[in-house]
Amino acid sequence: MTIQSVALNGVPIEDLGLGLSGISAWKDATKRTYQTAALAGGIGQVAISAGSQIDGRQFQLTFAVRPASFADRDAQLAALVARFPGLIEVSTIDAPTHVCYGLLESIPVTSPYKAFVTGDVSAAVAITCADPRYFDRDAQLVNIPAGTTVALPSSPATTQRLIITVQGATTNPIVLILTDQTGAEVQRMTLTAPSGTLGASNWLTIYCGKNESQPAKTIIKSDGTDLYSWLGSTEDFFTLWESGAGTQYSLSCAQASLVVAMQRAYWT
Amino acid sequence: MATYPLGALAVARRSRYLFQFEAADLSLTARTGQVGTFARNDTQSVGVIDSNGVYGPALPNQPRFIAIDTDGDGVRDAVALLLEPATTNLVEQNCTVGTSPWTFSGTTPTNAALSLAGLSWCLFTSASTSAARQTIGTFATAGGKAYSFRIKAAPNTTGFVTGDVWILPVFDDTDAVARAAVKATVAADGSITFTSSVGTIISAVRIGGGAYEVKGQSTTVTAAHTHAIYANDGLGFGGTATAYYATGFQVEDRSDPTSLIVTAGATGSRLADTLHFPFNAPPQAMTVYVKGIVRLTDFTGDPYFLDIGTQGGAAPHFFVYTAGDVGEVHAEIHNTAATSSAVLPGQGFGDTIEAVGILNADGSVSVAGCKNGGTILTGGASASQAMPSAWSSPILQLGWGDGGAIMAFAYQSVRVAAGVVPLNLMRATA
Repeated sequence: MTIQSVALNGVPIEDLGLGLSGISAWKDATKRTYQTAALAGGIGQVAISAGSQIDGRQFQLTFAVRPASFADRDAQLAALVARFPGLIEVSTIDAPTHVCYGLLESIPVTSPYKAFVTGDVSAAVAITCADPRYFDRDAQLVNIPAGTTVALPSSPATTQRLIITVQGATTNPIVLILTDQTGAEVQRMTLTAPSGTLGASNWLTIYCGKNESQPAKTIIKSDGTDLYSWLGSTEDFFTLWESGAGTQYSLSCAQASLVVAMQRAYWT
Repeated sequence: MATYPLGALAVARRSRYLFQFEAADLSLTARTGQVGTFARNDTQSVGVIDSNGVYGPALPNQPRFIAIDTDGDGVRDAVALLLEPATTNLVEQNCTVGTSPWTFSGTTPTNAALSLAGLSWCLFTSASTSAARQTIGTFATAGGKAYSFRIKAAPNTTGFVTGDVWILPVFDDTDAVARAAVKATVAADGSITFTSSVGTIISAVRIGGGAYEVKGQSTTVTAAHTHAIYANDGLGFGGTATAYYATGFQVEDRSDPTSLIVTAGATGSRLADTLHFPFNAPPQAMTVYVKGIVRLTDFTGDPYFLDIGTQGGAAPHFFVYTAGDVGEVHAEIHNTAATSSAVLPGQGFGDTIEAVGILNADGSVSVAGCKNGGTILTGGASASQAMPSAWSSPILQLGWGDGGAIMAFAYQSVRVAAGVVPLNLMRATA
């Protein structure tokens, strides 16, 4: 299963019988758009936003299809489309453990010759990743015993890909506190049970950001119950903002032991 | 440009599988929506082992997601759900060696001298001229017995205390002979190499804070003999290191070591981890895929990776299991007849196994297996028979086995797809 060029859903394309003849956008730092304004007496435009709108990533993977016959060409192209039934996890030999998630947008098929003289064609697969970031394929696990503050892995890009499990038994409310490298609190999540507490043999799974298994921002009890309503109405799910080198987030909870699965994010 | 309305925006889970469980989700709710039912019922098994090799607290009935180094490069690169059979740690006070029923010659170890990797550690001083032992009694059966312990080099003013430490996890008092003896050699940088002079070391891996976890198996014991464990045998085998830290001593009356059970003034037992999901898809041509890390060396009793149908083996059911002492992968269906297909990837403790069972449209079964991402082996289809009209019960069970042989396995992925799908395509994550 060694990646030689590109892997789709963890499977090297060579194992799928595909040969790559071209690729683009896989290492792009995608376009940033800043809010700007023209100031009176100024020169040109002035950026007035600290952040920026960041474009998605569109992979272009060009495959050379060399069929044995026209009927085989039809079969090979049909099989190619069938490789992209839903969410596609793309990784490359540059960083085999980093993956970008996208959806098939189009597969223009062109013939370098007269289309019905030779069967050879090029199929240019366009995969659009609304989120341009790569993420760890395998999450980093972190144990956070009750009452202790434990550092989270540093992520080169902003990420919300945190799955936090809160292990019973707990007292009520459950307060999760995110701090920065100075020890200052930057965000908290307060989970309050309407009655009783989270007992032993139960646990909560908090999905702070979208991943491939769950919608973003959900709190699910071990019996499958949706407990979104436990979260304080003025609070939000954790985001680890990119703040440059030296930024170090830590997490703590006095009422329960936590287990965090975090997929670090990368711009390229 | 016209757009074709394909329905409401899809924002819920998506999966092309009939069933999909991924341990990396840290949830027992499958991606396909089924909610798992889990139980273990003990309060002493250490919990999650994280990417830094730190043990989580022992909490009852909490599923144990563990980070595992699958390729031996020192990086815990995979997240898996650990399911294990019932067992008992025969060693009392296994993290507090300075306490009775441990007995001593020379210097008594110091309890709670260090808190590291989620455990409390004992400091052994004057180790080369001391010994610490505990009688653990007889075993129910003969055969090799599982052991494990955790050890860390002790710092000194120049680095670490170097030399050899001798630990005898299984010692036959009746015959006055070691059935398992491990020499831990500490280098100046604190790294430790392990040599088994008696018995077998199954694994020796880094855990948090520069410590090591050693698991192994003794040579065959005589069950009726009285046995003991030596947490240090500097007097008898002649260790040379004068100090070290150790904790988490464990001896089990079974052949393969399981995860740590922390004990106090009595032995500590764990019930089997059990997990099952609703599975309402009727019998049809289908492919089941299980990926994870093997935690067994002895497959006697045919422990199951997965079973669709009633727990306990009532027909009709379809299951994928291991068999024999050689680590075969079998797929089998029981309906009007019992037919199976097998391959031999030769799995062993610590191997990453992908096991695929295929129920073909004619009621036959096929199998495929792959060890550590290597060559995919496939087994031929068994005899055909009528496709069942329904499973004996609409559940999908993990870690179950006939005759009490419960699988010890760290599950990464469990997927069921409609139709016949090759193993390499079952690797797709969505």
